[in-house]
Amino acid sequence: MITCKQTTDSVYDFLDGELDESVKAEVEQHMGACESCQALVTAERETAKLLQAVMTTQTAGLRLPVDFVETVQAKAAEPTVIRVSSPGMRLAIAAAFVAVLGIGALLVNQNSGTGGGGEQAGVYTNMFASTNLALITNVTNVIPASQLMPVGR
Amino acid sequence: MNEARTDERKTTDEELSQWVADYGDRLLRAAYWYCRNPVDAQDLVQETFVIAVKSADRFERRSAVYTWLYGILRNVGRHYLRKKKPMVPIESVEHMLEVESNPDQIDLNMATEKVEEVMGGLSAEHREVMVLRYQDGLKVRDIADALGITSGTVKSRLHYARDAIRRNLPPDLNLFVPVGT
Repeated sequence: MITCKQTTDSVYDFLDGELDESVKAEVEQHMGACESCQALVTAERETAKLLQAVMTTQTAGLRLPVDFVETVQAKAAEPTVIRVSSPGMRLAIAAAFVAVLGIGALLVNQNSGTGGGGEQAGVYTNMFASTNLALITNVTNVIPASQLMPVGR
Repeated sequence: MNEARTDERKTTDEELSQWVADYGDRLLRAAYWYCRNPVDAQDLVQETFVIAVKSADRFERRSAVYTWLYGILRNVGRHYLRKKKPMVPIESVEHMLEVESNPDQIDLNMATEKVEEVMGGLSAEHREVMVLRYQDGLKVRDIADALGITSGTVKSRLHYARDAIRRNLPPDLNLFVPVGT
């Protein structure tokens, strides 16, 4: 014999017609004898009707404009712009660049130290060093001087 | 190479027109419940289709087109909710000022107002199951498939959202009854 709890748990499946015939028959039999479960199913049906009426009425008049496709095509053709809105995120990205370039400069230095292509590596090292300096300058422009910690003693 | 790219572009343009014709208004109705504002809803759908066009080459056509587009809309809608503060749509205010004499219409207007209000306070997850269930008329199993969650989770979210609406409807409109044993 099916319980109220089982009926409650299967109310959506019952309404969706998703129950096996045997389970459906048991639920119907239970509802025949249990007023509160019968009321639950009735209430759920009424709720569905009310919410369907409200939600469809509220959105019934919504239509996309006739030139919608052209607008989307124009927007899609625009180049993608990555916007970084928060100052914290900007700083993090700048710091990541500095770190990557710093590691790159170190690797190039190591390579030039082991011999071979020293002159070429020197050019790269200088390039990295100047880029790092420019980035660090940019970062320090972003951070107020009062928040900068002294390095070394 | 350029010809191939032109053909590709043409296909996407043709597909876009078809997608908008087939699913545009349906997505617009779903988008409405993220923002409860027709203008913003249109922006959300526009953003959805722009993303769809840009990522069309990555859509492997394994899932239905609507499921794919709806998945994009969900992300766009959730982003909107994170950015934007809840607001009362102008339409609701105008509708409050109208004088209605038909009692059934008064009840529906009142219920609409309350449902709108409660939906605005629900999380994106709860709104989504409500829209798919009561606006699109999907079965629990189909909602679970569309959202990639279990049927049990769908039922639990429906139950929560339904309870929230029940608590807020005026008693004389209240169609819900307490459950016994």
